[in-house]
Amino acid sequence: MPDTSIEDTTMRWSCDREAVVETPKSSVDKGTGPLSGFEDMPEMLLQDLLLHLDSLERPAVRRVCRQWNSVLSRPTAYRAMACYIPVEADLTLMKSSKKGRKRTLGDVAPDHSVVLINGRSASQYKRVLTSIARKGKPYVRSLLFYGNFLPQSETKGELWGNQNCSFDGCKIRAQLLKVFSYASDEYCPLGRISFVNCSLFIGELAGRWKTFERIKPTIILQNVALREVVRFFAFYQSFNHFAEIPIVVSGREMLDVAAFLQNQNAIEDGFRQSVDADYFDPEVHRDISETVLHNDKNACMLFWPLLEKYVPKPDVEKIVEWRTTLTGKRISRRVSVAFRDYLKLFDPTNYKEQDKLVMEKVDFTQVKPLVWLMMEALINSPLRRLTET
Amino acid sequence: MSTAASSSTSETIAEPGLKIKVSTKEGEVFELDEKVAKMSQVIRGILEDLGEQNGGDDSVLPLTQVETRIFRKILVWLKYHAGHDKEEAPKAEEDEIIARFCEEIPEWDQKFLNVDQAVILEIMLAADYLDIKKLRGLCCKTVANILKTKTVEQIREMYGIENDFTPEEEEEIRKQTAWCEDEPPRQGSNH
Repeated sequence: MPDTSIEDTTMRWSCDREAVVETPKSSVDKGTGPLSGFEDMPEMLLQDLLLHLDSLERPAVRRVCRQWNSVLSRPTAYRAMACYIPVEADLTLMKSSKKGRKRTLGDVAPDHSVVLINGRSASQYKRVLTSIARKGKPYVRSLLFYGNFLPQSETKGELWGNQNCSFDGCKIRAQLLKVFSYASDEYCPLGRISFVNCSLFIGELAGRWKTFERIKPTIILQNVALREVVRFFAFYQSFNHFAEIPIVVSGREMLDVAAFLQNQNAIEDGFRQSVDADYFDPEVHRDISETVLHNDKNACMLFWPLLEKYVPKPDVEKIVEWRTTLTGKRISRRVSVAFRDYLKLFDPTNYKEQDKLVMEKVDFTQVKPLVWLMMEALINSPLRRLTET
Repeated sequence: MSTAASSSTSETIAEPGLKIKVSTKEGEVFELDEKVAKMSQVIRGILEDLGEQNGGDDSVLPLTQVETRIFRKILVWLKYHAGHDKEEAPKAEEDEIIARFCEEIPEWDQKFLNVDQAVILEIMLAADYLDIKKLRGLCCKTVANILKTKTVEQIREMYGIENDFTPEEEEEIRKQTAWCEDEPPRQGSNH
């Protein structure tokens, strides 16, 4: 058995006197000059580090330097916020429910910014909410709850009942329910509460349907794995009273959803319907991008890493043709390249093994319109402004 | 209490069982237990590439980016966790992300990382280099917790980071991030 005494082996790290420090508050405090390390830090590491800050903490540190600003402006830093996808999937998925209960993403926050809370604990949520409250009600715009707080193990029928987990997701979710109760009343009276990838959390909320019914939050499934999508909808369909809850699916999983629905014979004319201009209100899409991403620059940043990664050799003409077909407007080559690269995300060869079986069953001719829709949403996003510069 | 990590003058560190030899930036050679060594995905990968049969020979895996003093520190961590961590099935990506961001830092690790920030950064870089995800994540979390308590100016000063923004750019970012500043805007009427 190895020695486990930190006291002996670590804190009294006698082999190197330089490094044996009993934690001064900082070397600056001791007048020893600035620390080094960040200048040599790989960007991926820096990114992982900064992602440990929650979304209320990240904006401030963007001001540290260009590199930090760049890292924090990347899509991975805002992955929970990039819901620039139109709401057609919602309509499609709600097919089995009552018709005519359309709801758009504009309900999320048509006029205001969104506060994303990427909390890691109930106390953190509470702290953030309290912080928001201090800023006054005008600052309370929309609340996005992110993450499932999953237990480590799950079995069918016991999705949110497993107490035997090293990470006590159940406990945290239970605490969150309390936070949620007063959040909805105190902090978000307009009911602009959204849940991002919170299917399990939502499952618990289902038991409090009256609250849920009153606030009618938006559910956003984003960048979740196929299994999560399937699980979510299995659950979703078992609760008819969710029929009035808008669901937005964005990111890669749109393809997953398409595959899933195809397998469920649930597509029919859903995709064709989704290109209906009624569902393509540019204002809505602009609002989505601007509100969810906080500002235009971030929205644009969604695509720059892709641009940097792939040397442009674009099929620009094709993209422009699509664009023209859809709207009759022109887009710049720069944006076209971004689209081209973005479409690569839909390349099934990029999928992991566990998804491939399902992906092989996808009729991509059915999926294609979704890609168009995504392009359209992007065109109507702040990216559009790039065409003017 | 005698430990491998505290035997500062020893050139090699003996462990029972299959040994893996690694050398640090300064050329100091450590002999590690296989289980401990393989907690580094980099070492594991090298060993797999070389073939397991080479683990017992005299070949030394060079860890050219890791200083001896940092490696000793990491070795303490590796040994502790090799002895205490349960065998875990590989986590799904989603679960790993959740664990990375949601789990609290265990008490032992808190104490382990209760050292100078410069050392934490060096451990973090070394853990990244050696691909020891858990240690890397713990360091990230620890440093992030420190960052949370500092202002932008303090962070720059503490880590010697140059403010390379133009005043206009900085002002622009300040505007963009004004929504999360501490000073609440006292404007308009509440809903």
